[in-house]
Amino acid sequence: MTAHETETDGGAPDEELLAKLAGGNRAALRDLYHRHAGRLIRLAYGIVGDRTMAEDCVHDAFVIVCERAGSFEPSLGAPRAWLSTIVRNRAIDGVRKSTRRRDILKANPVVPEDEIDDAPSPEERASQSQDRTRLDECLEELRAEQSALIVAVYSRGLSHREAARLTGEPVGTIKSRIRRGLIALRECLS
Amino acid sequence: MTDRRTDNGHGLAREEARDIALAGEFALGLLDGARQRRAALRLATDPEFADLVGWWRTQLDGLARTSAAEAAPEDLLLRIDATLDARAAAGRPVEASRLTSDRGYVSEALAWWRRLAAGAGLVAAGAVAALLLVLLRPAADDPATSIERFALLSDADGQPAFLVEAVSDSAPVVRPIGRPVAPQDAVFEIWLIEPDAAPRSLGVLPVGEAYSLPDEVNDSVGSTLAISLEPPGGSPTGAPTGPVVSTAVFTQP
Repeated sequence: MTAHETETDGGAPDEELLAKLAGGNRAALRDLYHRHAGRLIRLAYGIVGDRTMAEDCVHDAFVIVCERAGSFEPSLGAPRAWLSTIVRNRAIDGVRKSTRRRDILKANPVVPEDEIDDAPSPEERASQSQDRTRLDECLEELRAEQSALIVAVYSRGLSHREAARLTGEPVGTIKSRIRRGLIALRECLS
Repeated sequence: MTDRRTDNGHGLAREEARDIALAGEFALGLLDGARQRRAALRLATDPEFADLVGWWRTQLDGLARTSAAEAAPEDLLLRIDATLDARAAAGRPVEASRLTSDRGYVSEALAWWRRLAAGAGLVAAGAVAALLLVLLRPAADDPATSIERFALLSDADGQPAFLVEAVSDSAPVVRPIGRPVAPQDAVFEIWLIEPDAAPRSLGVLPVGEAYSLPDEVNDSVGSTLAISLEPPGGSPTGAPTGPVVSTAVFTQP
């Protein structure tokens, strides 16, 4: 990932939009929103399982980003990763406080293997960045149960305990698989 | 970092492998309780660990591209605009001219801690650094000075902003991490939120200084502490009127 992420829509890099946003430029908000909001809603929806709640997470995230654009810290991730982190954190905070969480997971019992099946088509892969392709390749190099868990934890916002409940494995096994998977993934991506 | 090798199969030193996994777990939101708090503190105090977390956030974000992008609904953008307008009208604008005093406080805190880590700024940072060392040390090491109750108040990005700590039977103390500064014409006010009770003001926080809370807060382990932005002098109503910038449970390590 370069310092200035290349954008596929031909617009200004996210870093530039954040700088404008810090100066109160609402046009930059609209550009940033149109570039990222769709995927962010989907990201939140995967965790909260409710369209309205997902949009609320994205709403809150963009308000936060507008007010904190000037304090964006590049060392803590690329701008789009910052957006994703805020959305995931709000979504996870929301569902873990919710008594509906167990119902949501029960209604959408996505086991980790299903997440891997949800991988993009060859056409989608071809259109995605080199970073995505490399991540994809490295995930495929991991043990299937490790990569599946990492993908599921990210996309569903699962806790160790929830992942254990979904897979029927002990919590300790889940923790160990994720840690070993992360170490292997780091090695591959580095 | 030592050169001790393990059987992790990757030729990594034990500490390096542990940090890689810990940073990844933090980025995934898998940590909770004491491990989450310790990782959040390391994020603020250890530049290498912070870089590792940033690396993971960027890499894992690739997973958010797995699904085909959806069109972004225009009505949601209108709602975001309306919220920003309302906050601006309430005196918490997002325009640069009004944000200069508060927008950088997270990065200021990070920069401050990094200078600390690099050996600079030690005079100003000494007391808080000592405090964090106590917090990070296993409690059994020194029962006389170990923190027995605390709350790490992070902002919406998970960055530590205030630390509330109580040693032995002493009154809890709120210490800013870095230099959080309220926006112009606003102050930080701290609240105790006990189950089934309305928020109770514990006072307005002085800028950049430690602030002692009432002794009886020690009896409220498990309750939530919150910090809101209020008009100068504090909330005029006795209840929070501004945005809550930070919350955490007052707990035991």
